[in-house]
Amino acid sequence: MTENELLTIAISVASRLKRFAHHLCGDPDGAEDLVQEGFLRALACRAQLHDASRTLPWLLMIVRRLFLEKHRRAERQLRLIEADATLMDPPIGNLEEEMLRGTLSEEMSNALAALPEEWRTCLLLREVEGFSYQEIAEIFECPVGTVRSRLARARAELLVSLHTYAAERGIGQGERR
Amino acid sequence: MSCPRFESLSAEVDGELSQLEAEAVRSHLVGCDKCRARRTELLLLQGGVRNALGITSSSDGLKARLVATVQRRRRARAVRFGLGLAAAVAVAGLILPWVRGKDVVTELVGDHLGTTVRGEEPFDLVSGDPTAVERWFEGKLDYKLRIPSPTATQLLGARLCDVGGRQFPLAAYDRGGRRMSLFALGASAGSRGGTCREGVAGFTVCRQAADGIDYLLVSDYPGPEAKGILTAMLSERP
Repeated sequence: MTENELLTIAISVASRLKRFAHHLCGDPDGAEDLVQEGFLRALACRAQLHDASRTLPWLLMIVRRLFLEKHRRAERQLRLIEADATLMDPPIGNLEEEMLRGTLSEEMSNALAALPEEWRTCLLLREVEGFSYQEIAEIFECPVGTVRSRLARARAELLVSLHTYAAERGIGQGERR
Repeated sequence: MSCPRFESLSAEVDGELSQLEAEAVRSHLVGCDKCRARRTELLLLQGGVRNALGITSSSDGLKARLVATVQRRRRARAVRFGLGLAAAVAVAGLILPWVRGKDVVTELVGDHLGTTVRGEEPFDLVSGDPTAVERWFEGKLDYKLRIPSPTATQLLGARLCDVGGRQFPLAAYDRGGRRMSLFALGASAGSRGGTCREGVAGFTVCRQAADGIDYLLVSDYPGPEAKGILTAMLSERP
């Protein structure tokens, strides 16, 4: 792939690269720096990309690697969280109506913000970018089972937060029996 | 079938279960109100997450920066080519002097001491498998690195060391209780016979090119011995 071809693809997915980097580093300016630096690295090692259709996941993987190199602490923290956390079954209530009406959107944003970065980024890649588990595993350089587990844990945490919020405010009809 | 685990339901709404698993979960859902309710919540949750995370900010500035990155790279290449030509004419093929990389070498000796000898800075990858270490460096460098595996020497792990914004790979070895660090400095200026210096911050530093890459070995061996070790390491064929 030539520099120009890689540039064309990167420009066409610039907003997705930026959104991904933004979720990693939590800052729009930092996100652009991260993508630009990742792109520079991608230009240098573009010979390693054998399948042009995989360019976006490959770029995302490079951006994430770069982020981790700069934030080793974030990676260590995640390892500690995952070693400690057990996947709890969240309660089942009647939040359907509230979710459909979108009245929980603020609480949803808060609950997402409280998740470990990589769980949230995993959700982003799945729900927004529409990547398969296999593609997410390639971006995160981890086994598919880890992606499956992270997504489930993230969703369980979100449901627990939403149910707690709903119960505190008397939203829905409480626990379903 | 008892209720499936939450993780299975989560993978089911993503369509990521095997056919067998998916069929078992779906047949369970037919007769279980509780799991059906949970599945509905998971589906609604997907929509909520999409709305919350799918916000896109303008990327016009980023696009301009990406274009500028390519332009800068091209300019730098053109300048390098010009300088290379001028240098070749001026020094008539003389090897670039040690002194140019003196500061980098001193920094790398510090990394050898902190990481390989004292273990104060952790490895990025702890592994005795050269292939695993080579794989770990893939995509992090703009050249392909070969990690030697000499006899009577144990590979301990690897790290990317940052010196002035440049990344240098380090592979750490134990040789009969004595620690050595092998660094790669990047593309070599040309074929280079091995050179060694003793007493660089208390260590022996040997430099040699192989397969178009400049390597640096930091150890506490006397110069001639260190030079022999590095030559043997780099003459290993993949």
